[in-house]
Amino acid sequence: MPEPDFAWLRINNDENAGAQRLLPRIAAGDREAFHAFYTLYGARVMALVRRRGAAPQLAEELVQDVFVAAWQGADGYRPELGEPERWLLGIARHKLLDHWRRMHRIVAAVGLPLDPVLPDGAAPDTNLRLSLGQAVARLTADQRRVIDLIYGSGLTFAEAAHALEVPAGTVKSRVNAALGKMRDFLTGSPTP
Amino acid sequence: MTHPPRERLRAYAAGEVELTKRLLVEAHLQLCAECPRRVAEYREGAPGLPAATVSDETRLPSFDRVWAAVEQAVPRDASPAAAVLPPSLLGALPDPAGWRWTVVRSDGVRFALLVRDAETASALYVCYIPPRSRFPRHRHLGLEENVVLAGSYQSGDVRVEAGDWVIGAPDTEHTPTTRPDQDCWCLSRLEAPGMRLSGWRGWLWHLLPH
Repeated sequence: MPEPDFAWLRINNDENAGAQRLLPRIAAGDREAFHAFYTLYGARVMALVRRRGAAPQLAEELVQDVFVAAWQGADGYRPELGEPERWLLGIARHKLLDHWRRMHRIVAAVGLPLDPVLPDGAAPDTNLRLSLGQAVARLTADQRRVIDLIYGSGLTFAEAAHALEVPAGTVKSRVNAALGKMRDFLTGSPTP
Repeated sequence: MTHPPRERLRAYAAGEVELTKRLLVEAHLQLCAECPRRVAEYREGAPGLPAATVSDETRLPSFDRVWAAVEQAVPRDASPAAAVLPPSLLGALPDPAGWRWTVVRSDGVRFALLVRDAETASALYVCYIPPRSRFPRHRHLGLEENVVLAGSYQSGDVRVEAGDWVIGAPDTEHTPTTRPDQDCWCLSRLEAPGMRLSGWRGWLWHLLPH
């Protein structure tokens, strides 16, 4: 399918005015408007994410997360909140903050040394970032889901068990298996 | 309407607040006419998105991939609690079908944990009080911040309406009550160690497994 032409958005050199017209349409569920919005800002969000230290595969996931959040939040956008670009930047910064905080907790749970302790929301060093992304990618969908509830949403094992409708023992074993798999990967031990 | 502290709005505008604080601010922004303008002012002077390089353009995921993620992320639950929360908040929360409700009165007063910040142990709850009812008397052991999403409640001499940002100091006790003709949905952020129900409910609470 040929790519739609969104050049009209840039002709006036007034991206924000164009984006401001798009957001109500996005809120109403207009896929084409969302595509235009992505064409306008996608690469610049990618630039932000990469400057904050995300490795390539992870950067793609984070950009995707930012635009999913923008889609979900479009009906809450009002011009009083400022230019769409700043609004989107706020979403992107918070997504990055959430991501690195979750990663810090996982690193601590896996038992890797973190010295010095990373400042709140800061990205770990390049090698660790690359490895963490790969380690998470190796988890099964069930393992990722439980890791996300516990280290992302901050739930206890019992709360996560309720949310997933499985026994607490199952949550515990999934977490242990996931952390074990990540530990093996990050420390170079062979995974069966 | 009462509003969040300026510093909170400033930190929100800078993209520097953790999830429980952020969702509470966003709930208020949906209902307030003044605070969105303040947020815009704080954002005004800051740098925007950086310029993209060719490499950024090359690495960008296809729109079809992003669209597939959007379609997967559509909320799966149409319960009243999910409907009262703005979509931007729902998108940041676990699936509403898995929210753990605690009923504290037989007429349907209830609350559910939405998300917790693991580092500070602050937790965000959604709470419902039906018309002509009350949330049982309770003591806040840590700071409480509260935004009414719909309806209203009365706490002492104060009527709290939709959008109001209410702060409850640690070690304060109250019994929010609703009018005969109006229920109340609110979003509450409790800092550790949270709250304790007063009287027999408090004793019972501690005897039951959670």
